[in-house]
Amino acid sequence: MAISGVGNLCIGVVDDDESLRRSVARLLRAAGMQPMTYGSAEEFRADAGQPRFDCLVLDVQLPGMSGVDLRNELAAEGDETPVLFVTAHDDPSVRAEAMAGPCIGYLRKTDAGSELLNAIRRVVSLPARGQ
Amino acid sequence: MNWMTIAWPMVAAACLTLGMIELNIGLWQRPRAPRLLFALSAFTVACVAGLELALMRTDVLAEWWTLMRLLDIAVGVMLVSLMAFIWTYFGNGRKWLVLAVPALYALGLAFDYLPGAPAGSGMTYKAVTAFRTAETFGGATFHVAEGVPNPWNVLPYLAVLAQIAFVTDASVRWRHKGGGWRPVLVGGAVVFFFLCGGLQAALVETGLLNTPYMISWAYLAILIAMSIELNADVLAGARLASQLQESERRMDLASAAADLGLWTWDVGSDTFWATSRARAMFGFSESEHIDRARFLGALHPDDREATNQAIEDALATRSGYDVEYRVPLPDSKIRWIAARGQVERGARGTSTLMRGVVLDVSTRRQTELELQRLHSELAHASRVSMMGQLALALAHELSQPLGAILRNTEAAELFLEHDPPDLDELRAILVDIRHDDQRAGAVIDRLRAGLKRRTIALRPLSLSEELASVAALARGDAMARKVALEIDAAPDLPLVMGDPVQLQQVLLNLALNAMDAVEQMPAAKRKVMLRAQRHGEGEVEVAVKDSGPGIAPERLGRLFEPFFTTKANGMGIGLAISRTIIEAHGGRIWPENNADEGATFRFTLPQAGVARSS
Repeated sequence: MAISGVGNLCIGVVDDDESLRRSVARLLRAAGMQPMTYGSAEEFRADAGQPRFDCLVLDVQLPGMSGVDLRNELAAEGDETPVLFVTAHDDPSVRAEAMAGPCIGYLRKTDAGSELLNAIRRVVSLPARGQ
Repeated sequence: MNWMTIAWPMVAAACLTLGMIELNIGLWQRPRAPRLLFALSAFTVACVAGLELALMRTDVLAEWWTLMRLLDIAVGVMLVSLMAFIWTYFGNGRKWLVLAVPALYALGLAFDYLPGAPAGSGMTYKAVTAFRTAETFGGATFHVAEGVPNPWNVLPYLAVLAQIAFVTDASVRWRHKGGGWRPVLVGGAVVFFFLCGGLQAALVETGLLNTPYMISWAYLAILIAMSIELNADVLAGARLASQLQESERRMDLASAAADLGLWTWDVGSDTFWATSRARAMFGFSESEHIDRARFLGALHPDDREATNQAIEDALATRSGYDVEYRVPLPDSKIRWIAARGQVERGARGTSTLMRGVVLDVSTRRQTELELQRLHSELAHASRVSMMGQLALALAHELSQPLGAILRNTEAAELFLEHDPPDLDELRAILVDIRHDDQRAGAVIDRLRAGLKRRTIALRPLSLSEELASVAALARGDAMARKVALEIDAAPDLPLVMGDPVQLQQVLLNLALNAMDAVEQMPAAKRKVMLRAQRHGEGEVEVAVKDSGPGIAPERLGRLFEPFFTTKANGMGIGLAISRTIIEAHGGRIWPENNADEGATFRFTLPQAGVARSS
């Protein structure tokens, strides 16, 4: 699997499950990307020194502000960073809520990591679309 | 001849009729003496009437004398029997007066039968001098004897006076004993007609009154008065009988309306009496003889032993009999019958009776069985449904370690392609994989424990830990529904005795209900709080508080009823099962509306290691 050309990709990961967060970060790193991890949406918002992310991987269910809320806030601020949702709780209503705003994908936590990587690669290899 | 020949026979006939009636009753009904004595009096009054008629038609001395002496004997028998009747019937009176009547009369009667006395000489006259023909009302003529009065003729009058004294005395005593107005009326009538009879005889004998003897008329009046008195009892008896019939009819109606069958079992003769309804329930024909064996034979074979035992117990303890049994019907259906009864001593001393009712309870019984079946089905369904809630929550938890393992292995594959592979990273991955695998294993263990365990297994456990693990289970749901889920466990909370799996089911059920309750509120106001604190002596209380609209007061009492639900798609069994679980733990569960907003469900659990007095 070619990994050249993605070394400069900066990915933000927000997930409250520490082990899962670590595994995603590891996968991204192994794929040559630069992950930065946060345990909650609030923590993400509070990080003043964060770079400009190429993609965000957000858990839907988070303590406090949810992943969808965070996406909505960012969209409201005009931030057009592509967002990829990951959920442990695949519920039609949750999915509908996530897909109601700008997002590039919706994955379950049990889906293969390669799908996550492919989704990221797809979005960064293409020029940013309107949404 | 004239109206007299009709009137006196009529008096005699009336007396005979009264006598026959009382004789007939007296032969069949106890006490016999008063009625038989009355009958004797009535017959002698009939004789007196006959003799009076004969006397007024004769003008031959020898014939007159014979008739007169017979009349005196008849009057004597009449006086004495009437006296004895009143004595036995009133049940009191002075004995010396009773004896005085026959004694005085016997003395007077002795003059009729003095040896060597000439014809005409007797109690009334010393000698009869002549007969004359008298005329009275309606031109009727009759013969009257004229003679020299016997001064000892005062004796029969004294006997009548003694009798009047006796009746007066007995009536007064009867009245004082609580007889009411009856003794006054009866005694008064008797005395009045005694006086009339005596006075009329005296006036005839002294020649002041130009009529024949009318003693029989006065005594007929007395007989009528006594007969009315006597038959008041018979009439009352007849009225009672008709009332009894009426009450039987009412009983029949009531038992028919209630669809009850009535039965009586004479234990001594082993014979059942049963109403048509009762017979129909068992399939007995109207005329069939029923005994114990026949009755037991009609029952379902499995119920015979128990029913027979219930009969034996009732007989042995002389207590109530209350059983339900089945009767197989010809169409291979089953009829359920409830029988109630009691043992009573029969009227004749040793014979024992059992008396009772039977009621067809098949419909009720079927409903009960149906409910029981439904209940067990629902208990199972609810268990499955509660396990479903638990499983869903656990599945959510399971996806975290599984997802982490997957990503870690994929990362490891990628790292292995590096040159040289980062062995430290690979080691860290393996540590994480092992850890996540264990995490997943623990989740599966909990699920398996929840599905497997059917009986309650109490052990000391910490409620703070249980609250935390339930909160972890419910968190995903809470987040998705934007409910703020808080836990507040008091520090140094004592351990409680509980079954962790079942308590988690209850807590999860209450927490999910609370989240349902706040669903309609704005997101900022959706709050659910799980709190545990000490409660009184040796108990810990758990409260699940929500910020929803609260519970309508009329629903508060019904929430724990099975199948009661306020949710569109709820089954109404979660709380019913929760209560069953909490009560099995020796605790209580109840809902209440909060003072500010929402409702709180509370339950208590006994503290571990505290002796409970119940």
